[in-house]
Amino acid sequence: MVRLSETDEGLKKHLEDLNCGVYETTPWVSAPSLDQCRVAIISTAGLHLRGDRPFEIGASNYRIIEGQVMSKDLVMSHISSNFDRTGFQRDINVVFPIDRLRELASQGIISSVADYHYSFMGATDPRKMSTATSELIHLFKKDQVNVVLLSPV
Amino acid sequence: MGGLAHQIEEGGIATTQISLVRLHTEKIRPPRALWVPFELGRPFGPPDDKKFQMSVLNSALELLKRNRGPVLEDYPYDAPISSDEGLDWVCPLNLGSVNQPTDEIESIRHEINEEIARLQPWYDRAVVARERTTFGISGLNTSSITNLFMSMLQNELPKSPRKGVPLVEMLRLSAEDIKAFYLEAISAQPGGLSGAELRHWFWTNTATARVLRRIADKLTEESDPDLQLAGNILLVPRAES
Repeated sequence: MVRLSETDEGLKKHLEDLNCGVYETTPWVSAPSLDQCRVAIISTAGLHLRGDRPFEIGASNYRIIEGQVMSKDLVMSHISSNFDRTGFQRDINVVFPIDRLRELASQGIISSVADYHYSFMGATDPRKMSTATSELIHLFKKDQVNVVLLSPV
Repeated sequence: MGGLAHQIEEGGIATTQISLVRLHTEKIRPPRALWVPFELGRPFGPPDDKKFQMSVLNSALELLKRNRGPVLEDYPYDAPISSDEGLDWVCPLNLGSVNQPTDEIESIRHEINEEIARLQPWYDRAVVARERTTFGISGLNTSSITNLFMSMLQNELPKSPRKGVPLVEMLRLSAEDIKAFYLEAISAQPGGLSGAELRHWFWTNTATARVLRRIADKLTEESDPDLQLAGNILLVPRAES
């Protein structure tokens, strides 16, 4: 459905006008073979554990989601009202495919699933998240993560 | 999303991602992205469809085999309609109220309370069936949320019901909670609607949605920019305003 031609006019204009920044080059890190990949998820859906602080307007920090998280513990406080939440309400894998990754790991298709995953609140400009992202890179390396799966909302 | 991919890859870790808005990904040029033609909020497709979600995930992981980028590939399939979505559906609950009080605000409160009472058994059923709920981020129960909304219809802005949490955040979190309550409840009924149809049902058929619109209108006239923001875009989706 997110073909701009099929989107409500107001939302379409907002998406078309959004300042995405300028990226003249693209960094590149070769990935290991899939069966050697230890995968972590970064979601920008504003996910967090029920007891965590909800995300605020302009939040550029992250919340920690442990790899063993149970679906009942995960909630969402993204500030935008312009996307569907009913899918997430029924099944967290719609935005945070942790069960699917666990299945791939159990089948040996990927090596393993990270011990920690992270969520941002994606309405904030990602350029303001660079300090937090630098932190995460160190944390991923400590967790032996060699692939990050990024999931928008 | 793509901006984060740039940062992480510059830090030495390979990334792959889902793209929901192709135009943005074309501009940002992240290393590897799979554009999916799904509605916002569902990057891995429909709920409770393991096979389809796995297909999307595998397609995103396959991009890790590429030797150079940026790679922006299109996922070739639209999201299927879930077995219980897209059927002809009419809400069997008549949410119109009877015996309303004459005072306008009390009348609205009465109407919302009736809606909540009628939806409560379905919400409870949803919680049991799914063993979870997404309600609860505001820290308020439905009654306190209703009280907050009603106090917003008075002339003076109320104080935030939670110390240390600004009023605008409490309004936003409460709005998300009450929508979660309604939508989790109604989607637990037999038959069903797609996500878009469920949201449309909420925004066109409930007293709570009418109140949220009134609150949003009121906030647009406030001088505080955060309250204005809430009034303009945070409480009511653009497609329903």
